[in-house]
Amino acid sequence: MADFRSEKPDHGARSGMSYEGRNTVVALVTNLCVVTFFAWRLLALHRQGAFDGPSGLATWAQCVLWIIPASVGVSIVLAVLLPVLAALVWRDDASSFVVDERDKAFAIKAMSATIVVASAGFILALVVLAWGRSALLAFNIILAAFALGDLAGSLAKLYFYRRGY
Amino acid sequence: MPTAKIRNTIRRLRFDRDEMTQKELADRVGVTRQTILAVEAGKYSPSLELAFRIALVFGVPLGEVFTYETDNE
Repeated sequence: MADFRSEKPDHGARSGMSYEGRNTVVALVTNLCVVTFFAWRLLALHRQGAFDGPSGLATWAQCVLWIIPASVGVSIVLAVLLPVLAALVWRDDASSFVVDERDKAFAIKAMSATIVVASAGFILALVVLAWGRSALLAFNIILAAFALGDLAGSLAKLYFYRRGY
Repeated sequence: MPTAKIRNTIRRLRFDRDEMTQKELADRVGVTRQTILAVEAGKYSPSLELAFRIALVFGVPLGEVFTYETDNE
C-alpha cells in the first residue's frame, strides 16, 4: 500500500537550485573575478607610482570611476547570459525563472551582511584617517569594504540557499 | 514563552490529490519548487497570502493545511 510519506521522484525538477540560487553563484563568481582583476590593476598602478604626488588621489579617483561602470557592465552581461545558459543546460521552462517571497527574504537578510561589512570598512577608514595616515589608504579601505560587503552578501545568500531557509 | 512550530499537511494533501508533485503545486501558487520543499519540511514559514493560495489549490480551509503548535500541545 502506498504511503504518503514516501516521495515519488519529482520529474518537474531538473536542478536542485532555484533561478535565484543559481544567480547568486554567478554573482559570487563574477564578483570574485571583477574584484581580483581590478585589485590587481590598482596594485600595479600603485607600484608604478601612479598614485604618488599631489595629483595621486585624483588619478586614483579617475581609475575607480572607470572600475565602477566596468564592473556593473560585466555583471549585467552575465546576468543576461545566465538565463540563456540555464535554459540550455537545464532545459528550464518559463516557470523556473520565478522569483518568490523566499528569494526576497534571503536578499533582505543577505543585505544585512553587506551593510555590516561596508560599515565596518568605513569605520576602519575613519580610524586610519584619525591616526594620521593618508587619505588614499582610507579610500582604498572604503573601496575594499564595498567589494567585500558585496562578496559577504553573496556568500550569505548562498548559505541561505544551501540551508534552504 | 513556550516555543512554537507551524506544522503542515501539504505532503498528505499532495498524496491525496493523485500524488501532485511539488513542481505542480509550486507552479499553481506561483513560487519555486524549492520554496514548496522548504514549507513542506517546516523549514520556512510562508506568508499569509501564500498559505491561503496553497489552501485554495487543495480546496480546504487554511487550518486544515497549517496548524500552530506549541510545546504544551
